[in-house]
Parts: sequence; structure tokens; C-alpha cells
Amino acid sequence: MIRRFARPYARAIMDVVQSPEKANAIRFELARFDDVRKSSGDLQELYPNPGIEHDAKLKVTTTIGKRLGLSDMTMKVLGVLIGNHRMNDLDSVVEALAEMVRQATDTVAAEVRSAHELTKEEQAELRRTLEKKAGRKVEMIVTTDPTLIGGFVAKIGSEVYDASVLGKISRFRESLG
Amino acid sequence: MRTAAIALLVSLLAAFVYAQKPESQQPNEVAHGSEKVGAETAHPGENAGGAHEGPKFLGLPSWIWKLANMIVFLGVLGWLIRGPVKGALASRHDQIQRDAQEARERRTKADQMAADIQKRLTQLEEELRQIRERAQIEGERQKREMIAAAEAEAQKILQSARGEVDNRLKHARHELTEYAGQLASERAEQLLRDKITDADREKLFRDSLNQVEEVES
Repeated sequence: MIRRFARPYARAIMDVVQSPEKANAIRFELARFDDVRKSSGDLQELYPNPGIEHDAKLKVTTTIGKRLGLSDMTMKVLGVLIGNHRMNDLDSVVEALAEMVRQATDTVAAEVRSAHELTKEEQAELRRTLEKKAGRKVEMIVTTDPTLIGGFVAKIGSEVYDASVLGKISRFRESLG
Repeated sequence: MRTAAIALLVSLLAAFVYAQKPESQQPNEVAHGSEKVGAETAHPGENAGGAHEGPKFLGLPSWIWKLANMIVFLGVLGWLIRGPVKGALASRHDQIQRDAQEARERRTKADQMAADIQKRLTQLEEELRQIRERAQIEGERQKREMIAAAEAEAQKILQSARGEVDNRLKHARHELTEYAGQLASERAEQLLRDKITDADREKLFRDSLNQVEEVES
């Protein structure tokens, strides 16, 4: 869920870079940084801590950014978020930015859960199928869910395509009920 | 009235005149106590005052006058009261006649009333008989209706019970089927998880792709 404060940040990034592709690149960089932040308990405590000075937070962020190979633009965005004490809401900003990029590129997000890890060929094939269904470009967000046993479940907007073995078993069970 | 007054006046006058005539009394006639007893003893059968005739008025013995006075008095009295008595008797006669007439009328009315009551009693008996008949007919009708209603209610209860049994049976069948399906699906799921291979997963992926393509969005 996108929080209200996140949209102005996303809009500002879009306005500054003036290109959906560049904005998308920043989005992925921010997402990578957020993954690191979420994986570290220390970092999650660092940013909301008022006892630690802004410069110290910025220094840590810069160090991590360099290791991750983040662009200057991404670092500036992170600096602004640190200054506004919004670092722990970075995922919301990323999500808002993704939505704006999709709007700008006429792309729709497809959340795909697959029973096994999809190869690139399988992903491409699935994308083509979903784009044919959606009638426009599809940005797939793929996750692996072994409980599905086989097949996949794709969700585009409010449409859900359940082509998993688990779904078939569930429908069979419901048909008996 | 005036005549009555005159007659009364004459009677009183006659009585007054008679009363004014003093009777001569011999001085020796007066004997008192032992003298009178002695005289009677010495001359038994003689009057103490000696033999004499009764007092007279206008040459007639006073008893005639008394008698005449009595007759006149009674005559005047009769003449005087004749009218009122006659009127009173006539009035009483009329009153009795009226009372008798009224009594006759009352008797007639009472007879009429008795006849009416008798007639009403007769009618009442007839009405009672009709009421009894109607009550009997109504009772029979209500009895039939109650029996019919009870039968309908029994039928309804029976149908409801049958419906309930059917529903429960259906529900039990449904639960049983569901349970069997649950078991079967769980078993199938377990088997698939245990036996599935990478080749199967790829094949299932292809099948899923085809399935999504066939879906009409």
C-alpha cells in the first residue's frame, strides 16, 4: 500500500530525471538499498534514532551506497529521505515510484507466484502470455511458492489467473462441497 | 242552603219555646231521703207527690210535643241531609262504577298480558328448540372443521418432518462427500508433492500457460 507522503517524493524523482527509464533505474537502486536496510536490524534502528546525528547517518548510507554501486541521483534521494526522517518508509516511496513509472510507460504490474523458479525463457514466455491478456506491457514481479506444487498464479490488477496444481485441487474440493 | 237554615231555625224556635215553659212543681212533691222512703212505706203504691197528670202545653201532653219535636227534628234533619247523602251516595256509586270499569279494563289488560306472556313462552320454547338445533348443527360443523384442521396440521407436520429428514440426509451426504473430497484431495496433494519431478513442473508450467491463454478475460 502506497502511503500518501510517498507520492510527492516519487513525483519529484520523475520530474528531476525526466525519463521513465531513468526513474525506473533509480527505483531498482532504491529497492536494492531497501532490501539491505530491511535485512539489517542495526540499520533499521539507525535511521529513526534521534540520538545519532544526520551526518553520521548520511556517512553510513554513502558507504553502503558505494558498495552497492548506487548512482548520485539515488544517493541524493536517500539524503533527502534521511533529512526528512523517512528512511524507514523507503519501500513506500519505491512502490509509488514504480506506479508512476508504470503509468508513464503504459505498463501494468503482474504479481506472479510460481511453484518453481522460472528460467529466463519461461519468464519471457509468461510475460508474452500475460501481455496478450492485459493488452499492454507487463512488469512481472515473480516469487517462488513451492506450496503451489506445479504451475503458477498471476495477478494483474484485479484479475487473478490461478493455473496452479494447488488451485486445481482447491477447485476440485470446492466442487464436491 | 237557605232552606236548611230556615228549617233549622224553626226547629230551634220550637225547642226554645218548649224549654221556656216551666213545669209546676208542688212544694210537697219534694221528698228527700228518709222522708221519701217513709212515705212509700206508709202508702205503698202511691206517688210520694201524690197522683197527678203529666205536664201539658197548649192542652196537649208534653210527650206529644216532644214526639212532634222529635219527628220535626228528624224530618228536618232528613230533609237537610238528604241532598248531601244522596249526592255522596251517587258519587260513591259513580266511583264504584268507575273502579269497576277500571278493574274490568285492568282485568282485560292483564288477560291480554297473560295471553302475550303465554304466547311469548310458546315462542320461547320454539326459539329454544331452534337454538338447540342450531347449536347442534354449529357444533357438528366446528367438529368437522377442527378435525379437518387437525388433519391438515398433522399433514403439514408430517411434510415438515419429511423435509427436515431430507434436508438432514442431504446435509449428511454433502458433509460425507465433502469429507471424502477433502481426504482425496489431501491424499492427491501429498502424492503430487512426493512424486513430482522437475520435468513434471516444467510440463505443468506449459499446461498452465496454455490454460491462461485459453481463458477469456
